[in-house]
Amino acid sequence: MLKYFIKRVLVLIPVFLCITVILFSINKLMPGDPVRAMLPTNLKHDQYLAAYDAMYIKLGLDKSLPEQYWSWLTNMFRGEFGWSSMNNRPVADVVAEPIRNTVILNFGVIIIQLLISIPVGIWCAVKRRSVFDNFWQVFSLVTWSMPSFFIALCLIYLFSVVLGWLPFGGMPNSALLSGWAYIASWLRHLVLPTVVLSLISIASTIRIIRNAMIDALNQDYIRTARAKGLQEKVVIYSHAFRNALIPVSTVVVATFFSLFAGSTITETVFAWNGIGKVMIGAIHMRDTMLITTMNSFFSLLSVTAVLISDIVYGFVDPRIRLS
Amino acid sequence: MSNRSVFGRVASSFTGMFKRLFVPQKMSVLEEEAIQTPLRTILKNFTRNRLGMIGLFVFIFFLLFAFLGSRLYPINLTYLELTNGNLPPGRGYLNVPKDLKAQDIKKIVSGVSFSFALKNDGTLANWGSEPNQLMTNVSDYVLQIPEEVKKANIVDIASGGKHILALDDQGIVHGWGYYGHGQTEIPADIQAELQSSGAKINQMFASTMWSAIVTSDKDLHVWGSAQATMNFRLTRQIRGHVEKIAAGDNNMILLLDDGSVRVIGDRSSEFFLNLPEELTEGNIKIVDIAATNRNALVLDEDGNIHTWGSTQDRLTRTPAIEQKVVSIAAGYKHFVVLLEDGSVVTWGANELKQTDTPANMTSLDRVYADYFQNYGMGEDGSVYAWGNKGYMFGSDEFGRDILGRLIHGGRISLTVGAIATGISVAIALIVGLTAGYIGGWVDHTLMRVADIFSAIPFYPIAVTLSYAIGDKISQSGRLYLIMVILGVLGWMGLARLIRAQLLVEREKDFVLAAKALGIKQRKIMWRHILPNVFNLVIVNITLSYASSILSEAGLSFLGFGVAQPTPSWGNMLTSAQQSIVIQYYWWRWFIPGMFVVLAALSANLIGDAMREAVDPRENER
Repeated sequence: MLKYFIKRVLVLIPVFLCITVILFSINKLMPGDPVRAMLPTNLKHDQYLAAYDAMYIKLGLDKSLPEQYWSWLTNMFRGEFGWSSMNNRPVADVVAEPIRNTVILNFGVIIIQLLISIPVGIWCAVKRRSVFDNFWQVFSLVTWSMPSFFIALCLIYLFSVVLGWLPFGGMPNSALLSGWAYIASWLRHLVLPTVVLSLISIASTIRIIRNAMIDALNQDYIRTARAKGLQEKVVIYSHAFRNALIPVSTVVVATFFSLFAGSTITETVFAWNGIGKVMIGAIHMRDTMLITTMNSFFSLLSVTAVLISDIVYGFVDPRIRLS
Repeated sequence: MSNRSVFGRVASSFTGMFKRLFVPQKMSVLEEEAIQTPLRTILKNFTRNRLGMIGLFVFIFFLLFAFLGSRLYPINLTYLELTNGNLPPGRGYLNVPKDLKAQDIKKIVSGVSFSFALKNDGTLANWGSEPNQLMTNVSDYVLQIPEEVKKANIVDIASGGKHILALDDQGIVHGWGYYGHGQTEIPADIQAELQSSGAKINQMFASTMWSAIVTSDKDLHVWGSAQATMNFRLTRQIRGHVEKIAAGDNNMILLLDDGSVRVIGDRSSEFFLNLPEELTEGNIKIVDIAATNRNALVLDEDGNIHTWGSTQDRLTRTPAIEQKVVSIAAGYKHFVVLLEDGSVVTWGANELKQTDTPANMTSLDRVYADYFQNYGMGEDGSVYAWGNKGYMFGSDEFGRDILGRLIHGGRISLTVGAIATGISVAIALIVGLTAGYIGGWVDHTLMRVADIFSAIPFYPIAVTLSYAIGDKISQSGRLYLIMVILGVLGWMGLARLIRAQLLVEREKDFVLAAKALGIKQRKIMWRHILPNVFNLVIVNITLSYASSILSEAGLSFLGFGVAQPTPSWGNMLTSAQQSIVIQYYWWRWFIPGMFVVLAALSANLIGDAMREAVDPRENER
């Protein structure tokens, strides 16, 4: 197992390095003068010029591009992500709270997703071509064809405008509320974004689980199990589903991590102060370092996702790690 | 004869299609087991799939809607009409009630999307669509006539863009509709002044954000938006001499009791500056005045007209008029004059068909024009209406027709999706086939490259790229940029599929058999392996087309896709990030959103049906 793990890490390190090179190039392409963004605007002309030169050297812009890349990369691994010009604070401080908010949102989504898609997926595969199966097939096809922001807008219109049950969006106000009221407010704000993200991810996971289950049910050992006279329940849950879990587990890990980058639009629509919204805000405010840090964060997450799903794959399927 | 047979054939093929779609077909075993080519099997399987066929029809509809529609229905991308912003769907702006006869009508006034007729019996009739939303402290519905107005005997009426003023025989002014600037109700100070002087109201006037009255002691009172009340102040010389007023948003033309005219309001406009001097001297007696938003039209006692004002909207190009002019009227951007013989001459902006008079119009004895609607009272009692009929899908915040933008936005969205898919499929084919065919270190490297691209988070990087590069290039360059971004970030899945399929097919027995028969390697590749791979590609093209449309919509929604004023289905939704749009202007996000959903859904249905048609595993009975 350890050997397999090390092998996977070694494969992924160059992948991540290549992505950082791409991100660094995009950073260099971005409009705006990084030096000017760092300087106060109230300086006199000659003071400004001196400060400009000093900052130019401090930011390392006089060095060659490979050197700049290397110092950016090493700084990032030391936890120094640079300065956010929009907030006038270090980038690391700016992103702490949004990361927490996004994680809270995504945990809710992943739990709902698993609770719904696993039983539904299994049942669709077992009762293939039944009314139940057809309903969920159409459901997942329709949701899959809907842009997340459109689902979000429809739900806001229904639950916030027409029925008035839930807030339009935004975050609970910690200054005004405390105790249970604060927690209730959190939940009320969480409902709609969670539902939107869940709907989208359920649409794909139901199909994946169903197909994995169908493949598993078509295997010879299932016929053997049935021929032995085992109960259908045992056949489905302990023979078929355990084997279907192999592809499913990797998909679950992958969707959890992809939620971080995928929730950009949903967070923007609901004004949920998560990393996706920070990302879009940073672009509107031309905050170059914040943008690049967010992008590297998203990329690191997805590389981690690949690694973890590889590990899970190796863990649940011995054939993989031994080959 | 030949026509009928063609029609019959078309009709029977339609019924055949309908039967195939909705009526289960029974076949004998022999028919069912008949040998046919794989392509025919696929085609048969596909046409049997109802959902897939429905998807195909919907998709063809969208293609026709966007590509044929944009040819038939050209729009001017830079056109905007802020006055008509946020109007709800409706095509009945000119639908005068059938029972309304010209001789019953005393006066017709119009707002942006509705009209009111004052009848000779003192009651009101209205038609059109409601421009106001019930926002707190901003507006009532203008089309709902208040109870006290229904009971009163109305003698005069005036319409602003979204509000109405009605004067009853007791001298009371009723106002309703949009009251965001207090324009529907005479303020207390003016009320008090009227009471102390005992003056009656001679004329009412309403603009979008303000209202005004001219009293019997020839004074002018303006209320509503602060800017208007500041703007329209009378000098001492003309106070007490005002007979009648007409106005645009920022300038007002006054007809004085000596037959001369004055202009007040914005002093920098051509409306103010270009007023002909001879009209202010009183030598030419003016009998009637009218004003569009930026131009003035006056009629003198000899039946000649004089115009001045802005050169926009083609209003200064006065046509040659040979006859005596009987009466004049002006909309927001056009003039209408009625001649002695009952015919009409009209000129000005025609984007909303304001100046397209009905062809069958007989001679008129009165004509009314307001905003973008015109009504002519025929001498035979019929009422003719022309101008802006309305917007089938409503208008957006700039007053642009959403239908037109949907058509042209559809062309952009579908094209961007198609080219993006083309790019991603081309990359996927090159990478997948090279990796699968050559194998070894090339395969390994290419798959690592695919790993790298898969690890790139889509929306963050797409948005960043659009921001980083989009600033430096032109409008059309941006369009290509979006296609390239979508294409380059979307090929990995298909490339892996192609490679895997190629590896699987290479190991199959028929390839071994072909090799044993001594068929050349290249021929095996082209004739035996690739056709099986291409089935996969064709299925995936439709599926990735659907996801390209969705990605474009998402990017444009965030404001990093297709840039205004070029429409796309996605960027028509950008404004739905404001809660006011979600709450009050549902047609601005729901309709374009539904178009995206239906287009993506139909492409997905086709893709799904094709997958089932191609994949033999799905054919089990």
